Amino acid sequence: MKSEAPRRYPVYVPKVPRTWWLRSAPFLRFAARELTAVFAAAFSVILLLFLSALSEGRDAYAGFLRWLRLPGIVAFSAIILAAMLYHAVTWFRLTAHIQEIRLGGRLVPRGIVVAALIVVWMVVSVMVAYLHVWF
Amino acid sequence: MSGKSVALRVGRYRPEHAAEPYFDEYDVPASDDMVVLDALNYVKDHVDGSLAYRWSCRMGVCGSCGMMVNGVPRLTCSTFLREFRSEPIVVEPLRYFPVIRDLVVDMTDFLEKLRMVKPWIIRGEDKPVEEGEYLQTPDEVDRYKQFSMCINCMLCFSACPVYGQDPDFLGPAVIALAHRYNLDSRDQGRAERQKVLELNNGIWDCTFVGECTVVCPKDVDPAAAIQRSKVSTATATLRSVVWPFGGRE
Amino acid sequence: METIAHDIVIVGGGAAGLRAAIAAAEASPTLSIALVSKVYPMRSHTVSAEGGAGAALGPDDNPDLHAFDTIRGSDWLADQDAVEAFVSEAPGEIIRLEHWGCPWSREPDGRIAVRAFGGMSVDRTVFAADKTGFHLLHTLFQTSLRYEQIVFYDEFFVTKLLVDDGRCAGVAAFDIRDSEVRCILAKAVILCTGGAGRIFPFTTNAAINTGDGMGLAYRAGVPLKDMEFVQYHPTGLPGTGILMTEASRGEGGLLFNNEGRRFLEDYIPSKMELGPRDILSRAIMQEIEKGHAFEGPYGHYVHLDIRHLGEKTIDTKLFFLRELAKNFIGIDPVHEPIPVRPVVHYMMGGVDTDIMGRTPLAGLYAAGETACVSINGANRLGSNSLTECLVFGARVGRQAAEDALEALAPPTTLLAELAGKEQDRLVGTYLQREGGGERISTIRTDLQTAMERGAGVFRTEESLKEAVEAVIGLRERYSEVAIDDRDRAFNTELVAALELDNMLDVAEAVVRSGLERRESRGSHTRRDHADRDDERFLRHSLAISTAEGAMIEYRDVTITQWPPAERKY
Repeated sequence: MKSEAPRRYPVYVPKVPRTWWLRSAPFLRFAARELTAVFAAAFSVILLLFLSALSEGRDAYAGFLRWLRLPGIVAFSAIILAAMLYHAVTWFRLTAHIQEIRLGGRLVPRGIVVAALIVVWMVVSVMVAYLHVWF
Repeated sequence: MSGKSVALRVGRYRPEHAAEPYFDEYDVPASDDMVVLDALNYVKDHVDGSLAYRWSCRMGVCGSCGMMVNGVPRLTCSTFLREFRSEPIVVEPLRYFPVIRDLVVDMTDFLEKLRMVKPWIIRGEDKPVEEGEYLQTPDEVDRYKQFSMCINCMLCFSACPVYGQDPDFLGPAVIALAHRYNLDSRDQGRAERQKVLELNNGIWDCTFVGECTVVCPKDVDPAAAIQRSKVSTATATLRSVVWPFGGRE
Repeated sequence: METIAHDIVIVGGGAAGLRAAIAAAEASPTLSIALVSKVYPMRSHTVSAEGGAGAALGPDDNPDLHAFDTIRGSDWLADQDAVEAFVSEAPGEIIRLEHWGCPWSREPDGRIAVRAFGGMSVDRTVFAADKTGFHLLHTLFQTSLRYEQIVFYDEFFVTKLLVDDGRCAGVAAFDIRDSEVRCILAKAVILCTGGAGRIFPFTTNAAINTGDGMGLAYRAGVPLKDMEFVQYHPTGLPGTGILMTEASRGEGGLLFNNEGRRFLEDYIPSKMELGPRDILSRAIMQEIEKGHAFEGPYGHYVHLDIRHLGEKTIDTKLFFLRELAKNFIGIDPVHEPIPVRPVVHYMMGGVDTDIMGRTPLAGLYAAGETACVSINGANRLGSNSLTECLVFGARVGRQAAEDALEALAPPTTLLAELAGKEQDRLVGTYLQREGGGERISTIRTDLQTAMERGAGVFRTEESLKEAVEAVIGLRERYSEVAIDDRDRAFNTELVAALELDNMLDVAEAVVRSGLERRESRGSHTRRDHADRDDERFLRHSLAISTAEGAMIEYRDVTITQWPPAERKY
């Protein structure tokens, strides 16, 4: 949209601070959401360590389980769990935004979609936990 | 907010007087049904005629009066003083835009980007007017209707930290309008718009913060438009890789 | 003096201006078209229009019927050749907009839907939910972006038409961002600057509707036609004046007084809520005078009740109206009736043009609410205005294109000098002025009060004479105006001062024309001359600028197929 008359006015361009994400609650929540990816990665590393320990035999596996029970690691695992819960709920809400679900021509309200996703997640978690604990 | 007056703290920028912006404080007589714009008009009419800002329709449809109110992008014609529990109410120019004067920001960037995504009906062949309208069922209208409600107020740009960090980002409203045309059953221009949307500063710059949708006064949901564009772009690319034969329209 | 040359300059970027720009661009790819607007085009007041655009599209409809409805609505003051052209081109314009992407509301089978509207004998109002103007404007604006030949001068304010040797050949306009006047030369100048509702205190109009184009033409010696005809929309919100669309009545909404009666029974029983706007506005004002209205902090009002339409219909067809009522007065029309009263909405009068949009000044054209062709005569039917902008915007665009292709280049040096004088005037009168004590806001408020008192819904000889005196007094006070803001960067006070100048010119034309028209016709109601007088006044009034103020002349109305008859419903 360039007009043929040259613009001759000064403008002030405010600088965006590096701490922009601290400036408001929504931005802070966004930063937290993105940060949960770090904890997801950490969990993946622990999972790899688990598989590696498994493949190295009984002693290595026992050592790994002892390591898991260290107070520091338990605390860290709790943090990972909290992060993953936050991660899952925020991504469910985002998914409800992206994908419109229509049943019989009518739009399913977003709240219902999120609730449905949480229910499915709970059911799958219970099943996985059962397998974990009993086997 | 049932007191007789309310304190305003208003951002000023007068390049002929000072190189940096500053604030002015005003006390404005207030009533329950006043909006922030009414307060600004009072200042301009009775206290300080040099306060510059844009406004027009005062009913939330022209998109002129977007400003930051207590740090949140709002339409000042639709923001009631009674909402605020504390004073002063801080009014500043829309964030992330160059400021020309006081509460007036430069919109050139937005208009250039709007033109880039070709926000008009693109067709191979247009049928003559004598043959009547293109049939479009109410359901087909509903598919894009929401995204056509954009009043170009640019509150979404001010809410977008990606735009704040990277002014080359196309921006929520622009992508939403491109999406509106892509979804219109009469349009055949998706491929042309795709070339612009797929660029580095197009849809892929978006990290789905979602604040654009939260601040949008018209429920356009630009965040949804952008993510759905990502989905359709990705599936189309995947499809063309797996089955490279046959063109898209 | 920076001088820029284009083939066509269009002042104003609303529906008429954008439609004209597109029409000119399509007429010839070699034409360079400047669209000069004091606001970004998507902010133009077209955006607030809600109800719809009327056209004889349906199979049970025909243009002659649309023409008759329009002429009867105009109380026979419309020029019938103009109306004939209007109704025949209207359907094509609606379809063309549809091809450009306008999201008209549809029937289940996909055809464009129509709804009932005031004064129309057949349902013929095409609509886009209840934000027709918004969708129309954005469709036109976005479509106009395709044409590289249309150059946008956004936030440029035109202060003077540059006229040489009886020909308008350009405009002097300053960029609001730096207050520097540019000389923009053209072979054709088209005024599409909308109406002037802001000369009244309660209006549906936006802040920008200050009659700028009318003022420009008037000062260049072009007559302003039929200025006394100011339309009051019967249903605006008390206080803000925000429009409650006529579509609410088109969908079945009802009006009640404080006795719970549908009082329109006493005034227009055959049409009731779908009567023409002037009759309804008078009816409501009379109910107020009789004490049958409710009283509130912003004056008296009656009730607009749409509760019986049901939430589903309201959310589909009247969603914006519901939003407005909830946001601005905290009333949900699904559960409560809406307080409404007549507010100023539209100027039937404007710059004198012929049916191709040409004014008596060579090189100058006008279209839309700024112009008076006239198709609306003494009272406009709802939904005819948006269509008028499309039809006459297109006609004037094509005509201007044709004329521009043949015209000679304007005399650059002479016009640049005139523009230079404008720059000096702006600096001398406003930016660097010493002394003076009047504030713009005070003069403006006093003007609005005087207009409402003297030239409201009901007028008398005395009230109009007082209004004329008031306007003359305000004109004198205006010469003492001093603005606080002396900056060059985005000086909105300078713009407001220039707008007030235009408002004073327009107001003078309105009250003087009103004083001289000693009859009642359409929206001009004189308590002292209650009847229509075709013998003396089946004529358009022409307000012409002279040193002693506006001089009023008359011109006969063009009658073709519909001889004047009693306006019966």
